Amino acid sequence: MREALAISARGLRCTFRQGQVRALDGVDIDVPAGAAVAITGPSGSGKTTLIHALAGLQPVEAGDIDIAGGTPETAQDWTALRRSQIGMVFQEDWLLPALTAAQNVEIALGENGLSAAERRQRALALLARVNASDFADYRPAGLSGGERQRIAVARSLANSPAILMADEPTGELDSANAERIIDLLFGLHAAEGLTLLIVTHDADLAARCQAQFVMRDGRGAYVDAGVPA
Amino acid sequence: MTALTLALRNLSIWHPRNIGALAGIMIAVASLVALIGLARGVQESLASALVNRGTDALVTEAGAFDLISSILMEETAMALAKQPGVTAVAPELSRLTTLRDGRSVAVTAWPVGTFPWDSLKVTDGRLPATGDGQVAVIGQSLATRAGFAVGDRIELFHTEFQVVGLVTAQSVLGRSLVYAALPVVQELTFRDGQVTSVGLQLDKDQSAETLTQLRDGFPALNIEATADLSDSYFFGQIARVLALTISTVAMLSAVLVIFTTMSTAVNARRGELAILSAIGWPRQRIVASLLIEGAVLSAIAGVLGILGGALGAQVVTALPSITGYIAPVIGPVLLVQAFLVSMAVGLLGTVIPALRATARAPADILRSR
Repeated sequence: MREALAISARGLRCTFRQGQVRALDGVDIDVPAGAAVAITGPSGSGKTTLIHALAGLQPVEAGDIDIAGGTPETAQDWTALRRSQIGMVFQEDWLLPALTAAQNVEIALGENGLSAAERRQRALALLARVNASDFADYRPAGLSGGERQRIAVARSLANSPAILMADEPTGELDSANAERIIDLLFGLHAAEGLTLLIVTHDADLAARCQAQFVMRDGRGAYVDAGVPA
Repeated sequence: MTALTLALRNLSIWHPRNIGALAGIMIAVASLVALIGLARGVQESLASALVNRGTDALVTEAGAFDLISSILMEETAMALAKQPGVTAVAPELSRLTTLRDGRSVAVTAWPVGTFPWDSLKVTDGRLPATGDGQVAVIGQSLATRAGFAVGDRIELFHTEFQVVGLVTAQSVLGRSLVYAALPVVQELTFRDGQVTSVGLQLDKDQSAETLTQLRDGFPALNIEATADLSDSYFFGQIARVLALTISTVAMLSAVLVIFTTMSTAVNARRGELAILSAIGWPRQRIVASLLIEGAVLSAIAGVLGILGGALGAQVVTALPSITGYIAPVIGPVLLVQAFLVSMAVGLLGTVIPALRATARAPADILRSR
């Protein structure tokens, strides 16, 4: 019996510069629920475009995506999905400079029926999970890159997503902070059964995942036989 | 967190972008208010001087280039005084002369006892009396600027006059003139029996009919209601064209500056907008948050700009070269217009780039960063 899939995409195509650059050239990918998958490959191979497409941040010209039990079609469908099922972490933290760490987490909670006090409580709890409680009331400008990225991870968890997508989350961090972030992501994956999809150049990080999906020239394939292709 | 709270938190930090947008809108609105206020001040300067003098209609030579170049015979005033509906006449001779210090002043002369003298409020000394000879009264603003006091001597038309009074008038222009008796000025300017205009007071109940009858009866004269006068002469027309031109340029400049400022501010934040979309904020909530920011910023900048413009116009009219001749006309209508321009353009300058930025795929912006 096949494992339940968190993501199943077929025939993804996406081009840039009026079709001159084929970022995705018919990519098929299945990601089992609860798996940790690394998307690797050389620069310009389409890794980031693939993860953006799987999160609905990048429209595709062709292909189908089933994700978190649904088939989003419109921009509104994708927005709702990112609000409830998908958490995103980027290479840059993308924290809003006007907000404190706690508010940057709260903002991802949106207007989901929680009171202001409940939202604050939830944000503080998430910051505690990423060991960032000490700077809940600091603005991003006063924090280090590693601290900001931990807050970004807390933000990605705000709505208890089933899938966490990370696009080179350690790309701008020193090795010590990178290690902390990686441990944090895999800890969350293990503790909560999150499906983890990580774009990375880091071979060590990729090796910690259950499978590697290697991209090259807009095409991709699994190299680990343990994961369905 | 709601769109409102995000907008207010974004505004609560004095980011250079916010300060730049605030300053840009403020300067645009201030320019709008000051320029239009000054232009209207120029336009209304002459008209208000005549209206405040109690003149209902002014008679000049038909085709005269301006009030000073008009030439009428003084007997015309007598003939006009006999017409039905005319309750009082005041022949007037207005000339320019140069003081010893090189300053130009306008001298206005009426027969002693005619109605325009009643519009002047004596602050020191007295008005000229019949048989006084070469005496003058000076508008309070001019007296203050030039340092004249009662008892001083002032040279007008190369002749010494004694200052017998200081006066103030309701109009700004009226406070900067020199006043003297008509026969004295006629003699010194070689205009015996001549005047430049005749001021009329009309029976209020039939002023329109009276004007029509006067025009029919005196076709060689130009007879205008005072309220329409500023549009009838060359300098009035110039003032009107200038006011219109300056208002249009100021308005367009304000629109362009505000629009550009707000567009730049929104474009600089495309990354923030993309991340909001990435964490699941619907497009309409992102746009709403930006609109709230734009509205609050425009409102604050609009109010500050209005205050700055009003202050700036006062400073400009205090310059030595024009002080006492123009008062900026900044009424509630102009203030409301300026505020509405600020708000409307601020919102327009926000909503268009906001819609454009949020229409793009978030990945386009995140990738280009």
